[in-house]
Amino acid sequence: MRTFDLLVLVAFLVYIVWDGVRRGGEVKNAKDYLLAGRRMRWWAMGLSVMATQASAITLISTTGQGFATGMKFLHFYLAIPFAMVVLCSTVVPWFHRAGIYTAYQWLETRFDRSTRVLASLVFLFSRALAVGAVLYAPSIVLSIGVGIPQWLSITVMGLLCTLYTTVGGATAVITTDAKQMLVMFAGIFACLGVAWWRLPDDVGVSGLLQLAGAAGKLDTFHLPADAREALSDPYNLFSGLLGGFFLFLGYFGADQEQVQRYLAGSSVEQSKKSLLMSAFAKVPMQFVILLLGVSIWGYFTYRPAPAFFREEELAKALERRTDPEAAALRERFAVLRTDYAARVEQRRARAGELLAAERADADAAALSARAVALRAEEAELAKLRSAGQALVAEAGLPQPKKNDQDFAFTHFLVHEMPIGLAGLVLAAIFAAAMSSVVAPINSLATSSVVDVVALLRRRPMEASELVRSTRWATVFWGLLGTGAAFFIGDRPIIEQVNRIGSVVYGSMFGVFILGRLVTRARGNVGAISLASGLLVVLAVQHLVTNPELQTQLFRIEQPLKIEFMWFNLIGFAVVMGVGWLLSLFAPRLPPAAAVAAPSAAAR
Amino acid sequence: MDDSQQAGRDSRDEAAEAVEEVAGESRGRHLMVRALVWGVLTLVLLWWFERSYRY
Repeated sequence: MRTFDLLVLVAFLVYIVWDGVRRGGEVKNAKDYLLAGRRMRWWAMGLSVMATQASAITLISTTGQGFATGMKFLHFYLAIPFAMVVLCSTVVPWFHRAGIYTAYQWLETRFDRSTRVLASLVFLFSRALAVGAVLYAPSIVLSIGVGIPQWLSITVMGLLCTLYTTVGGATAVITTDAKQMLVMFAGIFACLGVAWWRLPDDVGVSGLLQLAGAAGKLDTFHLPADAREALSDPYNLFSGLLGGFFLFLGYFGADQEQVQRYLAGSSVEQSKKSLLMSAFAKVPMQFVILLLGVSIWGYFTYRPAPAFFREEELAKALERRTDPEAAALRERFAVLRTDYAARVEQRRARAGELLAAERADADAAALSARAVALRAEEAELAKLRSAGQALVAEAGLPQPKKNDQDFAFTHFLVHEMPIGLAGLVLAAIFAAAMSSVVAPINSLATSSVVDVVALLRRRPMEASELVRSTRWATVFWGLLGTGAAFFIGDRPIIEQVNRIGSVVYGSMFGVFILGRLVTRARGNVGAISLASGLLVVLAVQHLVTNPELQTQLFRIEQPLKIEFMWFNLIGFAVVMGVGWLLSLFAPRLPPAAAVAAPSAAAR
Repeated sequence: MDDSQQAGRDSRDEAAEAVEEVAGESRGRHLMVRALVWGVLTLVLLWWFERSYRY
């Protein structure tokens, strides 16, 4: 990276830390520290909600997905507008009017303390691991793709986030998140602008879209052929709209990381508007990020591109070695590069033929034949990239399993972005990572103190004590997350973290809806239903990831595969079903007594 | 300001707050309906986009 670009990054980091730390002066009581004084405007909370959800790896991997497989990933987000409307009609007014610090306090007013503590512990467990993963994942790409040492990016991001979250609390989190989200937007549009600006004149954006469509990269509306495909393919309309619906209900409605953002609103209306901002902006934003990946693919169709993005690193590593194995690898590498260069030329020729046919208004059959030829070249290039990936592994480079496509964005940033703009995009990556770290640290600290530590004490906590304890808890969770990022390594823990999210969200949201809809479900019914939902989802997950077990148990020929998004629906249904069944054995109470005033537990 | 004036002022403030809350809820409902329409419109636009570049 050029010095000026690094200076842009440093200036951004200094500003964010200063902006976060100065919010500490606004903290006068617990409400200020935990809920930003409940005086936040909808646009700040809305940007914070979006920034919390969009991590650096979202930015890097999503563009990588756009580059390699196209825009199918967009299906994942299609349910967000519908989920947000449901949340605005349900939990947002419930939580806001209850005057609570954490979503789990509401559960105590409706069920009992065990339900609140169980939900809080599930949240703490699932989120604690995620902080380390959110820091670790982009650090690999920044280290290999940009040259920033892994220890440096983890330490800088982890410690800076801990510092300004500890001092400024929720106000610092929301205000810095909002600014970081704007930097992310700026970085994304800067990249898109450069990629489009530098396309050949005879191609342009319309030609790029035609080529991407012909290569099968614009699949944004995919109907599954049958139920099996709907369950096993994560990116189709059914899994996106139905599985995704319950995933986002759980993530935005029962995860303290997000709930704490919109609880900071000055009114119910402001909180609702903040969530509806995502309803309007999230799908277009993801569309643009994926389109950026597709545009980078189109850009490298017409400009010199490496056979795979770690080519330069591999070449340097092999140059340093003198052993016979390295000589053989060098030879294979040279052949691969020659093959790749020839294939790239052929792909460019096929692309030219397709665009010429489009300009000549050729019939559908002729266009289809040219699209098939282009896709065949793409498939050959993908094989060569896989061969490159295998060479990376054989040469013993670090992170051999990391998808090559994840380096497309950073390669474009380092080699193609003009000076200054590259710094802005680098700042956008840091902004994405940091905004996804501060929110969990802040909410982990809040929930651990309010829902666990405060309940273990014999006397109620004073406001000053609550602020002090939450500050210490913020330091604890921040340092734990930063430390965990160093020890995660290449273990499958990141995948597990993502899976844990889907294991818990549906069940967690289910218990809130159970509390509202089934008035006879009281006491420990909440905790039992929640535990049942979690256990069933874990069992289903174990079953669908072990085809042999399915064959043994059910004697089926074709084992069933269920993608993780469906776990949310399963968890929700089990919690509702178990809760309703148990409620049948409970004595009937008048509705007024069944739904207690939530403010009673708001302490 | 005597007590009756203060009481009158408080009741006017409460009434204004209640009116604002009702107006806020109405605005919120309108926005939610628009979000639902936007969700459906997004699906239609994506279908049109995919179809426009299908070969």
